[in-house]
Amino acid sequence: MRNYIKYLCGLCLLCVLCASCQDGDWDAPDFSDGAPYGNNQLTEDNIITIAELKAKYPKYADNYTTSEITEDCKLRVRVTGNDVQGNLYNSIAVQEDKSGDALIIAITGSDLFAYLPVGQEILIDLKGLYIGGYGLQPQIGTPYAKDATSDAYVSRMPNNVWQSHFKLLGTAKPELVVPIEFTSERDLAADCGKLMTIKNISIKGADGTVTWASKSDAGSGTSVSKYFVESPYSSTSKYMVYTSTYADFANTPIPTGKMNLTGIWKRYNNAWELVIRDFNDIEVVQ
Amino acid sequence: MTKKLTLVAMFLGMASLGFAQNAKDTTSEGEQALKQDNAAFVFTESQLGEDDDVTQNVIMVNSNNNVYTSNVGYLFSPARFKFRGYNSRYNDIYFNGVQVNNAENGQFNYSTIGGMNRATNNHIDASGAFETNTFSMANIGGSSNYEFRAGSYAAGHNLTLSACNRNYTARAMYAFGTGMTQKGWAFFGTVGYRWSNMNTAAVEGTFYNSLSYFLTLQKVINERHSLNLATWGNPTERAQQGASTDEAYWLANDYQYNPYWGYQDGKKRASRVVNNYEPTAMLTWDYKINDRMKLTTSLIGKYAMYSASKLNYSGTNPHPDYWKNFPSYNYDVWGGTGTSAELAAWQESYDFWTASKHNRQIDFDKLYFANQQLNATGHDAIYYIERRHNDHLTFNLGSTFDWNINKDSKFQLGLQLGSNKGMHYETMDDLLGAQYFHNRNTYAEGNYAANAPQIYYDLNNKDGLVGKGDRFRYDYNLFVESAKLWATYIRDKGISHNFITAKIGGSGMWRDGKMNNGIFANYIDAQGKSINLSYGKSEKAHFLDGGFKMGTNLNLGGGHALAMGVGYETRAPHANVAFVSPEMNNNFVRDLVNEKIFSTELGYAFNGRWLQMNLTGYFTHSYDGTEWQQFYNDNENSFTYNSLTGVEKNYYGAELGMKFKVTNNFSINLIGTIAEAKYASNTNVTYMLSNSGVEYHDRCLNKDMRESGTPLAAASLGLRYSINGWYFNLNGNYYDRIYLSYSPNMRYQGLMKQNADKSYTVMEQAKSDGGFMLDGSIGKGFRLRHGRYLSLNLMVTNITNNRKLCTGGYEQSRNTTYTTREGQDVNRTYNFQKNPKKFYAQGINGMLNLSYRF
Repeated sequence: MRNYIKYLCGLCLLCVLCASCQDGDWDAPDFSDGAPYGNNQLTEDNIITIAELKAKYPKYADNYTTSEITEDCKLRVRVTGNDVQGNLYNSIAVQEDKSGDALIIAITGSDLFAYLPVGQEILIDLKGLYIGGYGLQPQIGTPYAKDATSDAYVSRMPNNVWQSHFKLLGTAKPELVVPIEFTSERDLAADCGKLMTIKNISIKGADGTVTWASKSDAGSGTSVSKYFVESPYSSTSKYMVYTSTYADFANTPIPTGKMNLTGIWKRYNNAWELVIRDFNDIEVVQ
Repeated sequence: MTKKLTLVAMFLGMASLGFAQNAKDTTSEGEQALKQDNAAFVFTESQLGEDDDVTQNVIMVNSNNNVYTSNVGYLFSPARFKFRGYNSRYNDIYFNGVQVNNAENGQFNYSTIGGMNRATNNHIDASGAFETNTFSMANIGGSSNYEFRAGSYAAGHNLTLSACNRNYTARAMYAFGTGMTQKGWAFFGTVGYRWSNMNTAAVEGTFYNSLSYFLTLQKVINERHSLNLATWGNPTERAQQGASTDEAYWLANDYQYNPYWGYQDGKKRASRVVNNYEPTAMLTWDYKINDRMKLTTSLIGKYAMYSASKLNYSGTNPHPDYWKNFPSYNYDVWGGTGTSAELAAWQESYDFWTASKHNRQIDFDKLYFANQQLNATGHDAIYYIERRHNDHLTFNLGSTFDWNINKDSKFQLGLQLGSNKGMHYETMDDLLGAQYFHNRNTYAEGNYAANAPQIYYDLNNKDGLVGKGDRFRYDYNLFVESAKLWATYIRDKGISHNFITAKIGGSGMWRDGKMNNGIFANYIDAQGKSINLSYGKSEKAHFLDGGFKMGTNLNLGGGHALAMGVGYETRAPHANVAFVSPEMNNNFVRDLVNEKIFSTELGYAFNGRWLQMNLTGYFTHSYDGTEWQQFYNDNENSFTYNSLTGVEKNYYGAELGMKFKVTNNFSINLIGTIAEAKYASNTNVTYMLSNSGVEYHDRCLNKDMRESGTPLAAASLGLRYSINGWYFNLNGNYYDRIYLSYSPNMRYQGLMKQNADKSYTVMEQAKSDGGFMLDGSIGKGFRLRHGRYLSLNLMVTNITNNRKLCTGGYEQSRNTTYTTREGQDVNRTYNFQKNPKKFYAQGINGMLNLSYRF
């Protein structure tokens, strides 16, 4: 009997030794051969500037006009805005380091900020993508029409398409992304899509409790527009702050008093829309 | 004296075996054991009831007195059959007379005795709802008692080696028993190991790693007293399979497509891994008071450590079968309408899915890269592997007094006591390349101001950093204490065998929160007072319940018998349905009351020379039940905690079992059931959103929704032939009326549009098409010298390789078109209602067993 118990225990021990963990600790992957996002086969040739792109496709900002980019050409740009706090949704804002020219890239997908942080330089292969306007804001994407009878406009491209059309270049350098100042002198056509800061501005109706975009303010919509107090920015048809009800700061009270507000200044037809990227874009002026 | 003692001890040890044996059963020894093996094995995944989205627990029904119930569990297990559609909390399991169902959810997890086949085979005394037994008032789904006394096991060795293409690939088991020795000692032990890895398991992306042990030692002290000590456990690590949509299965060209795994640096990695170990010890004292009275008392202690990992995210769902990743997200495949651009996008997505297996699974490399980028730019990780823990410290005591009053009457009195501490918490399992992560409610961010207390899961450690192994999100204990007294009186009179049984019990439960959830830190109670509803102890809820059953069995002579029974009982709600949101606060569910159950059964049995037959009709009506579930509500972008109260259900049907003994070697079995198991009326619903803590009260229009994940109609025709030690079995099984788990939030009356006539159009419950399956087995036993025995057996399930049999699944919890609370109309191209998540039966699969007894 003692021997048999010994055999049982021995077998138990053998089984314990054989039963090694199949889901133990995992080492982080090696990314020295390239990032797992984007298309690492793209090469840095046929680079054009945003100005040259606009010259090739004069209807680049027209509403309900989609121009397919048929040539082999690429942009080299840096990310200036993304969906980090859910406000700039399904798109990124990019600018050229040298000229400062800007574009919106419309992409289906959330958490773009995870691999396209502010300061990340990217190469975009434009061939096969489309350029056109949404509210006269030029953007790169693919055509979308509400139904078979409606006109198409450039909207967010499928994520699969985006992944084959860009390449990450190096690591993010957020220090290279410096907003310029926004003033009433800015040109709606030339400067829309840029990262800019409006200084010493306050919001109408801010009383310490009103928030940037509560659901009650939005009603049946998903965004809220707020307006400035100070002239000449007090024109509600020309200047506004656009905030999505899904933004992380949507229910944060708007500071009373003056602020410096930074963000992507998009164009919606004849109006400027400031899209704040995150909490850090809101600086209370002491 | 010694000889008498030995005989008594042998009787005590072997007596229970008598209940498990059916004198008329001609199935060979090897075949019977393997039937148990196969059923236990195929149950493995579905027994566990652990899948987040699907209630799959089944009941192992094996009452040997009934042709139907003695075969149905084994035959219909590939379709995950649930006896009468009952949830497994209506089936009680006992070990040596002490109840071992989970105190919080009332279910029994068969995986805790998995791999110990030599310990459990033929050691079950099972009884149906209206049958008497020696250990309880039977539950409506039956009750079973496992006999674990060492003396009840045959002496000798047994070695079994198995190979299969199922959840596991290889199995080895060794058992040894001494039988009852002359000195009054008996020992039995078994150890086993089941294994598969991600390349060999039947479902890609899963693996199985389980060691089982069972040791029991008995000492017959004298002719009146005997003590038995048993201990067992089976530390297990296994990867889970997930359900997916028909579109995913079609794109992958594989009905066993599993979205719960992916590639990391070229290696396969599972995202859902279960670790489970429940070491248990039981002490049993048998006291033979005199020739007619005996007292059996067992005390059991267990520390269960169960955890399951899950890939979680605070951004976009990274699973490959996220709805926006599908081709049909781009183009209305059901309506056939869309623009050419949408069709092109559909094609693009289709090409991506079908280009490579890599595109259809989780890309862990991307998750690591994203997390590293995020940390480098000062942000928290958004992808991580979390691990949900459900640990239990359990003590149960069961004591039964059995009195044979005379040859015609018997009385039993029993006591069951239980104490359970459930420890529920979440830990960080793997940060996937990130260095830091904060304990913050990212679902609530956006609903509150930045840094508002509501966005923190634990104000006692506000915005605490979470590293590997640290607890985060929730941490609470649930306590349950219970006591139950039952009694049965059995009286034989003339041709009738009659019984009446009753029980009365009480239970208490409370919660103790270990985290101070910011949403409930300053909760305004009914008296207008601000209290902390999250951290600390809740109030205690107490329930008194009880019931009775009575039945009679009439022996009409000539092999004919009639059986009928009726019962009524109230049952206290289980702790797992008693709290609105135990992860967040101490609130009990509104209108929490006992469930009431009325049940009745009428059966006819015939036992002849060549025909054995059972025909049974049953009806069960339950009301005032409570159900609870938690899921991610895509419409609200929030976890939702759902309590259904006033649940009323009807279960009814007919069951037939026939066994034709054509010759001594050849028999034909016919088993079948037609059943109904559904909600009899709409229910009240209270649901709470985790991103705001707001409770909503509504009506859920779930009348006529059916129990899911089981065929409500099933039939089997079986042929059995044996000759010269060989045995052959062939079973053709047909399954139908398999419903998928319905989604309550798709039927909230307050969120539905009313028709012109004030009625509501309620979505039909998703359903499987059912199907046919052919199973067979062949085997032979070899009697060797010196009493040794070798058996070889091959079992093949689903010989015709029917891979289109959907065995269960669940509706998605998102509307294709709906109006938000704010009045916004949402219309989606992707049709959620036509894309429930499903499981399909495995194609042809088999098991080869070699068993050697010596």
